[in-house]
Amino acid sequence: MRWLVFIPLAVLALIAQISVGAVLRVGVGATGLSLSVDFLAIVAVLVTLRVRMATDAMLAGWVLGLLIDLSSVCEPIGLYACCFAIAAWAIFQVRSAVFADNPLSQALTTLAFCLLGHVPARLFVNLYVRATAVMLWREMIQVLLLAVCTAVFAPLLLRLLRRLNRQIVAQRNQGR
Amino acid sequence: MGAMRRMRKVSRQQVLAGLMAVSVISCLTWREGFGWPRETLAPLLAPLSHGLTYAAGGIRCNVRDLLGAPLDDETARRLLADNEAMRRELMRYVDDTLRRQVVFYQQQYAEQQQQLAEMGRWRQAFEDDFPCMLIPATVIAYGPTPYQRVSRVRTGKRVGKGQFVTTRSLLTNRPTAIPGAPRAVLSGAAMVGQIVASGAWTAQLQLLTDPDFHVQAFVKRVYDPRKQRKIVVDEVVGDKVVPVTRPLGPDDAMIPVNLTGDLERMVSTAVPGQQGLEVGDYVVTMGLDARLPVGIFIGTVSAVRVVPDNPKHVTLEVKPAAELELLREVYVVVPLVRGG
Repeated sequence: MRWLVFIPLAVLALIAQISVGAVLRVGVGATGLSLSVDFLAIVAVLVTLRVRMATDAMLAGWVLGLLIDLSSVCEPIGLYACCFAIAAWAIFQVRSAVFADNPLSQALTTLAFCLLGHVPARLFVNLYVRATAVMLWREMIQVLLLAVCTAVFAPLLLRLLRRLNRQIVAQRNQGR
Repeated sequence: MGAMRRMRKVSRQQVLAGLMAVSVISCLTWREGFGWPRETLAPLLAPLSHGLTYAAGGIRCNVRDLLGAPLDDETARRLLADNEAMRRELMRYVDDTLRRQVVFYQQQYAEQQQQLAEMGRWRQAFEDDFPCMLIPATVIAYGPTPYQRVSRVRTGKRVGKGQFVTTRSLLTNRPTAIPGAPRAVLSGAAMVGQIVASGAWTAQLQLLTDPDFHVQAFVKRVYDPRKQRKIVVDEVVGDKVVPVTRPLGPDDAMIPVNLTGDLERMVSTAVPGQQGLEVGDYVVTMGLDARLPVGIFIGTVSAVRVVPDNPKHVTLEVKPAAELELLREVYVVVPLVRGG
């Protein structure tokens, strides 16, 4: 894992997320829900499908989650870091059963990553931070929408980022 | 070589374990996180996110205009005619309101003059209605997840937690800090949210529609002489207080409500239904906390729903006056009088 390549990529993904990603959210009627894409989750999936060690995948997930935490407000720092790290570990465990270059596999992997990364985080925020479940169901639906949209866009973005695979993952003769 | 590799592997796992442990402790201990890491990161991201936000916002705005269905001539003429009648009615209403306000302020001024004669030390504090400082700010980014309605604004000045932010104005760069405790906000045209965290150069704007946003407000019922609406008020008859039904008058008091963000709008639950609230009524700030003057526009009532298990009460839905999605220029407003 080449961290000097991964960190700028993660920061660029965050910038895209808080600018382009947020502006291009499409509202779903007057429900307050929106169709949006999680670029950071896509980068996490990209890394998780390529790195050789689960530790690297978890560390990458932790860094990406931390960037979300640092860009949020009124929510604990470290929440998304933990959730993304655990989601990355889970995806790493099942990745041998999927074809990393197959668009459908990429979409399903991204869907699973988003659900594993966001659902525990929103449960924690609603049940512990806010200590009220008023918004819980709506946020669960929002997680589902986010996961589906991200999964739809993931194959396209992962194809665009395919050239970065070699830059992110160290070659075998360069050590792990 | 093998031993070194094992050490390196163990070391990385230990780092991960340490980071996870710190994260868990942080989540359980500081529910809302702490400010300095966020304040440190925000200015570093600002230049790029600022440009991308403007570009994406501009594209979205133009695409929406292009995709909108064009008006046919007949509809356009009808809208213009309707608007003209409404404009005349609104101007008349504004004139009446201003006239009443002038009388009110004249009376208030006379009372203040009397007070000032007796208490000279309060003279300065009562001279102006609401002396305040406006800090221009620009929206440069949004929240990373769709669960919050948060924007990051660049203020060029440190502002305190709890300050409100308003729309419509310029961007300047003032790199000095505002002294003092958290203060309140005022808008030029409409209120759009409040500052929930800030650094020296950036601040987090929590929009009105954020689920964690709460504000006390007044509902100003629109008085239309052509269309009477019935309200129920308590009147003293003899030694009893009895509810009396009568038409709404121009001088009837505004209705206090507590508003909470609901992602797409604001809601107020358990408002007495007998007040005759209707769609289109204005919602304005209450001014009780001395952070904002009374009467700053927040939005309009967009729906009035009877509470199913309490038919005497209604739930109000309020649509914000400002277009929050494409918000760019805002003002942070800081009162200058200590303690309001």
